[in-house]
Amino acid sequence: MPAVSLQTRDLTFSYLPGSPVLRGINLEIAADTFTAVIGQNGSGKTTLMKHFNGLLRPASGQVLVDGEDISRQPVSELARRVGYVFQNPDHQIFSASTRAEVAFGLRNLGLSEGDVQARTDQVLEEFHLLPYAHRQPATLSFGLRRKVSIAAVFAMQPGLLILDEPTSGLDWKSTQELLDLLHARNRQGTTILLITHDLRLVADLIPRCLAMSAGQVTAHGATHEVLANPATNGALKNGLPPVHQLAASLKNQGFPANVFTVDDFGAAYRATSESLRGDAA
Amino acid sequence: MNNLGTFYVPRESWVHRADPRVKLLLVAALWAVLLLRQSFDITLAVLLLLHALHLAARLPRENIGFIWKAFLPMLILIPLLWSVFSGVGAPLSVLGFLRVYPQGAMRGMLLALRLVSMAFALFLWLYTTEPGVMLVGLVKLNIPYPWVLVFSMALHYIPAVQALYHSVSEAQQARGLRLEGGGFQRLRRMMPILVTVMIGGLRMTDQLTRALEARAFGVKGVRRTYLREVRFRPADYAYLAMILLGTAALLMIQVG
Repeated sequence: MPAVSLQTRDLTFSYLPGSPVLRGINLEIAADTFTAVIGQNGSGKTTLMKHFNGLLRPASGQVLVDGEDISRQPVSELARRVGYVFQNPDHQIFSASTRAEVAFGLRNLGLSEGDVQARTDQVLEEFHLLPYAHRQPATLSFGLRRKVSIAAVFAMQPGLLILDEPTSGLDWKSTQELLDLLHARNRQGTTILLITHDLRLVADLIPRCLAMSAGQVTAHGATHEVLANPATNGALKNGLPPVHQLAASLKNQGFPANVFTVDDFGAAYRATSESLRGDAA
Repeated sequence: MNNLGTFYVPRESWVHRADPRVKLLLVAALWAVLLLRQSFDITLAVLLLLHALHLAARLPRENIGFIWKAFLPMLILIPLLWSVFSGVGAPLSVLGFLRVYPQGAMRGMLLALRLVSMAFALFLWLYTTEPGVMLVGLVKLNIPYPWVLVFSMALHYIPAVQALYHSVSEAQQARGLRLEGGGFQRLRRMMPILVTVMIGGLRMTDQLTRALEARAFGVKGVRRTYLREVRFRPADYAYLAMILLGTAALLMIQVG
């Protein structure tokens, strides 16, 4: 499935009359990009993402998938192009085996039995789920259930993959493994949008970032630029990685403001030390 | 229905302020009237009174609409079935082979309206009584606390299960599940949703049981105290008198 691009034009939405949740969003997500979606609880992240696979329809404005208005397309049809991994894995797991759970979406797409089996095997292996292939997924641990729910959507090979907080409840190793899989899929040509509150993960591993606040996009672009943007930085100050806060406290020693990872800190430290040595000489 | 997992709609109104026991008595009284008096006039009068009370409680129109919407299938199906199968009154022949009973249809409509009225009475109590106050009110009526807790949790979990159903339905449709079609075919297609909701419901129950036990629920020989207190105010005595007099009048009144 080729990568999918997204566009919104003056998108507004509200669950209750008079309380807009999305306020005139104009956005372009290029195909092949990997973008983190950040913002405080209630900022409209999930609401915006649910517009991209038709689970929610705009009150006004448009959503374009690959330049095509999707207002009349049913969710089940959009599922061919747009995959959505929900926040809670228990909202989708129902099958008697992990294998059947992964195959469910593929059968909905009308694939041949051979393709269903091949894709299921491939994804179970990618996610190290083969030992659990015949276990009831509902009885697996939360971390494994999370993996099953992601694998089931991965198998459908959508051109756009949306993941709503897929790393919550996962340890750092599992998180990195998941991010490796997502990067590999992104390199093969899948557009990825990942909602998260983990700004360390965003700074370390996700190249692009979309920040939201009160139903509006406050910044969108390269991750370091978005995190350094005063609007984002101010709103998410306490959630920024500790290494950023450490660098900020060393501002008087000449540390720059755009330190978000350990590597950034190392580079800034070396630059500052050299400059101090130069001054001393 | 609000989204906080309860039916309660917080508003500043005399209906909200009324003692929960008085409101429960109103529900019981109206149910008694509706069950004992099978009259269109009385049913419509009760329904009108309940709409007036819902409006006096400043409840949003959507809450009233929610009840009508929920009972719409019943309002259609009951008169329809009674018109064909009740055998009440003189039948009319339709298309030569089908017998319909107009009187039966009217009887069915009355039954459906009585059920809607009973729902309106119950929902008035649910919409206007804060869950904590409802619980204390029932305990003050000498209903054992564990029973009251089970009842209040059951109420609390109706919206929770509804929300779960909605989320599961979204998740399965996002994986290409098609829900169009009707009858048995639709039911078959809904299995991934129904099974997931059932597993979710069982998981919720299990976690809830453990959470209750972990907080010492069911310890013997302990007298519970309550954060909220309910007391009869002078207005509640007036409401009580009005309910008793009104009920007696409705039970005794002769209507054509």
